[in-house]
Amino acid sequence: MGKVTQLANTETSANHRDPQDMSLPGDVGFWTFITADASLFALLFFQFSHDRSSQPAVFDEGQRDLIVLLGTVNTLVLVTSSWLMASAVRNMYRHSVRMGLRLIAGTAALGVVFAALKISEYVLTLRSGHTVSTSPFFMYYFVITGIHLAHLILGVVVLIIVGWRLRAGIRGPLDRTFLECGAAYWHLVDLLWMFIFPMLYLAR
Amino acid sequence: MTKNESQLTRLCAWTVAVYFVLFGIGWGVLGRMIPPYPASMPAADLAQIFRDNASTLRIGFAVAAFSTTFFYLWSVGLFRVMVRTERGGKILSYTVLIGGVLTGNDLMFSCFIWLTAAFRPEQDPALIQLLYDLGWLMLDLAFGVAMLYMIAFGVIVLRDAREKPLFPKWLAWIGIWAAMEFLAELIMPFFRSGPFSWSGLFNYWVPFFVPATWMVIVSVYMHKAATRLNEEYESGLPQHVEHTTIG
Repeated sequence: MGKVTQLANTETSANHRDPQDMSLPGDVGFWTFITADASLFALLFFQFSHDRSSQPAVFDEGQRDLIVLLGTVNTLVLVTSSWLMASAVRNMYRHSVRMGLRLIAGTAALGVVFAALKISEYVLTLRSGHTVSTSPFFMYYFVITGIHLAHLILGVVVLIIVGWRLRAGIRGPLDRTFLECGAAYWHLVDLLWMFIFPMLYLAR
Repeated sequence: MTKNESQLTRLCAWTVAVYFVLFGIGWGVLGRMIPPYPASMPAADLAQIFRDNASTLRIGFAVAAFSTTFFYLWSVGLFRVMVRTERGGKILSYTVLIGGVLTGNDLMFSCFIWLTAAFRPEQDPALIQLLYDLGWLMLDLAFGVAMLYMIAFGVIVLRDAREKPLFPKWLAWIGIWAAMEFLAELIMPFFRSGPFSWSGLFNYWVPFFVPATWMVIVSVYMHKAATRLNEEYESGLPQHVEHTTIG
C-alpha cells in the first residue's frame, strides 16, 4: 500500500526491479484476492476429493470418458502462455516495449486458444451424452472447469487492459502495479489448471 | 465532512450491528435459515415444519424484513464516505448507494415470500414448497445488486490516492473477490442438494458469511473514515484533493 508512494520517490525504481527487492510483485492488497481465490479452489478440490472417495467407481467411470488429448494440449497451451507472460514482464522492464506488447498479445491469444479448445471439448462431451446432471463426476467436471474458464476469460480481458495501458511502456509506479498484478493473475489461472488437469483427467 | 455529517455517518456505520442482530435472530434463528432446509426436502416434510413452527417463523421473517431498514441506513452512510473517497465524478459512489439499497430490498422481499408461506401453513404442501423455492431463488439469484456495491466500493478504494487510504486495499480486494464468487449462484438452479445447492458450501456458506464478515470490517473502517474526514475538514484541508497524479 505504502509501497507505491515510496517508489515514486526513487527515480529509477519505476522502471526496473531491484534484484534485492524481495517484496511481492504488484499490489500487496491484490495478493489478498489471490489468496481468497486460491482458497475457494482449495475448498472445491477438497469437496471433489471427499465426494470421490465416497463413490470411486462413478468417478473413475466418468473420467474414462474425458478427452485427455484436449486436456493435455490445453495444459501445454497454458504453460507456454505463462512463459510468454513472464518474458513480457521482463521485456517491459528492459524498455523493449514493442516486444513486451507482442508477448502480452501472444499470451492473450493463447488464452483464446485455450477457451476455444475447452468449448470444443464441452460440445464433444455433451454430444456423447454427458451433462451436468449425468453423474457427480460430470457435475464437478463442468463446474470446476467452467469456473476456471470464467477466470481465464477474465484474465484475457485483464491482459488486453494491461497491454492497452502500457502501450507506451512503463511510465510510472501504477503502470508497474498493473503489469505485475496482471501477470500474477495470469499465473494463478495457469497454476489452478495445473491442479485441475491431473485431478480431473489423470488421477485414479 | 462537517461534524454533524461525520456523527451521522458513524451512526450509520453502527446500524450494521443492529441489522445483523435483528436479521440473525429473525431470519437465522426464528426463521430457521442457518442452515436452510435443502431443496431436496419433500413438500410434506417442509409443510409439517411450517405447521409446527408457524408462530416463530412468522415473527422471525417479519423481524428479518424489518431489519433491512438498517441495511438501507448503512448504505447511505457508506455512500457519503464513498463520495468523499472517490476522485472525479461520483458515478461509482451512486452505484454503491443503489447496490446497497437494492440488496436490502432483495433480502426484504425474500422474507415476505417465506412469511407468506408461514401465514397459511395449513394449505397445500406444494404451495409451501413453491414459496420456499421462490424465496431462495429470488434471494440468491439477485446477487447482481450486491455485486454492484461490492465491486464499486472496491474500485473507489483502490483508486483512493491518499497518502494513508481511508480503507485498506486488501479489504477492497476481498470485496471484489466475494462479489465474483456470487457468480457460482448462476448454477444453483441446477442442484437440489450438494455443494452448489442453496444450502451448500459454495452457494450458501461462502456467499453469505464471507460478505457478512466483510461488511462488518467495512463498517469499522467507515467509522474511522468519518472521524478522519471530519479532522480533514476541521484542519481546513480541501475536501476532494487530487493527492497525487496517477499513471
